[in-house]
Amino acid sequence: MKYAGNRFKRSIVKFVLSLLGKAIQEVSKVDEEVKMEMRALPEGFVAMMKVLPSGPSMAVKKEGDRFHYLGSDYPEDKADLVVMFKNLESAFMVLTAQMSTHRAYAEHRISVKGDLVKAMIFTRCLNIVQAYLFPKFVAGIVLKRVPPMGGRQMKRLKVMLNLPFGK
Amino acid sequence: MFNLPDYFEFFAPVKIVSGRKAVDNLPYELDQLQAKRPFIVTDKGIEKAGLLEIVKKAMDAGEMEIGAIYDETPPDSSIEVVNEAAKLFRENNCDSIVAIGGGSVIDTAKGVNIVVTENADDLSKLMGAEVLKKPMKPFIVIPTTAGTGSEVTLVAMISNPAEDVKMPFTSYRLFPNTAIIDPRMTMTMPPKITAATGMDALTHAMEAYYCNQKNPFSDGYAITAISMISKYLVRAVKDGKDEEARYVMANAATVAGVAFSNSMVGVVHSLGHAAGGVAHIPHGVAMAIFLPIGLEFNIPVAGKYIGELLLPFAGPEEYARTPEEKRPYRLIELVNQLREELHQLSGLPLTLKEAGVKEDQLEEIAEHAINDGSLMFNPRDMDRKEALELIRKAYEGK
Repeated sequence: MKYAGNRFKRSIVKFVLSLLGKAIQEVSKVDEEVKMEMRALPEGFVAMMKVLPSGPSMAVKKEGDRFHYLGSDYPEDKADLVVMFKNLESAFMVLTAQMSTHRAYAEHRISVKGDLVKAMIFTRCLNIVQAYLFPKFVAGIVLKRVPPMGGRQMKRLKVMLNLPFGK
Repeated sequence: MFNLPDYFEFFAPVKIVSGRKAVDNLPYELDQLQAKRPFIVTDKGIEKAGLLEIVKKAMDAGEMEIGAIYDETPPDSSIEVVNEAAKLFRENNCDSIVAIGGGSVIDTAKGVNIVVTENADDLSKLMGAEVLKKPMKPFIVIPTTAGTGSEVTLVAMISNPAEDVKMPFTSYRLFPNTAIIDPRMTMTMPPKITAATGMDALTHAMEAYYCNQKNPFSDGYAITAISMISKYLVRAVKDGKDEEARYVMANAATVAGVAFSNSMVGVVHSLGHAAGGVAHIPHGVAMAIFLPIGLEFNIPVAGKYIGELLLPFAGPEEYARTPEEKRPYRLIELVNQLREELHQLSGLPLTLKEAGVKEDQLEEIAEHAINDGSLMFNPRDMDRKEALELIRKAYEGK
């Protein structure tokens, strides 16, 4: 990469994607709503987020009632659902909470490979995960509606403590 | 300041051939696309109504052979139907596709185009948004209803009976090359279908005006379509032989199609697709039932835009005498008046109960509604509880 700005953004995007993957794994261990949403996904279902054309990426797999983080080099053709950012800049804006996921969809910045019904379920899980990760004022910017976090503060603490130890 | 989105995309690549005896241009348009053996996708009703004859006559005059005809399309197209039709396409060495029919036929034809282009054996392996890459076969659509707008859209809705859902396929590759709008092709539509498909077109235009991908281009199409529909839908339902009304409605549906194909649709379609998938009610009927409910649901976040629709729908006098904050509510009142009039004229159902939906299906419809992709483009989020509330309201009609 010739441009230092792009190298910087790529590193940030790679870091946030891995954080997100670990967060999905940790939140799915403790959050009942995520577990409930996951019931509609088949066992072994792999969801992937990727920046076109060649990454970075991250993938998670449904194992029982939780997601397992698969790391950043899972092969795209083996994933059941691939959420693709069309370019690095779009990924950077979404993953640094400058743009909401639904706005990114509306602006054609994301394309999806796979069953769109399952994409909706995965998106709802992601929304809950983002509510865990972001302070309320940031979550208010990136989500159409912030899931109530009132009874989830202890779980949030647990997720945050475990994040550095995910895969 | 003009409310321009930060970023938007607009694409309307379909050539429109519209007007008196437009179908007679079919061989010429096929030739322009270098097509020699078109595969016709249609249904038995089209054949029975004599509409296929109009096309066959035009093909004969243009000295072009029809490769094969698939006329088994059911009202609710499915993966199996698409795979079966694609087989017939291949067996007859066809090189292009002509869809003659309503939404189900056009969606089936789009599905066939995906399968034969991608050389796949099964459509379900090619699901997704914007994932199809190969250039498709030449594809011409002759709509016989004035509603779906599918002749100018990038979407195909195909049901998956195994999971009781309608699967959306969206890709810029799915746009037809040409849409032929000929008033002769919609003249035989019965009043109830005219009413339902017209409400479908109205829903496309209204949702396009306030959903998340709205932009100045789609706005222009949406407003034009609403104005045409509000003036001519009742006329077309009252008198099917009113050629002017048929012609305007056929074009209005296409104009609305361009609008929503670019700005997408929202919660009315999420609920309607779900009701269609679970209870098999016709799409237009579902749109007529859910439109006022969806408009009302969105007022807290998109009331300004919904209020602005009063102008094309009711005209400048009504718009001017209604205070700004009351415009969205007045619009809903007038949409309900239109529904009532269509109900009186054609028997168009106004509630899910009247449409034959069973009360024990409501929860399943709600579950499907929140998983429908169109919800992503609605300005307001809808959760399970809200979906069920709206569906109960649509069931009882209050």
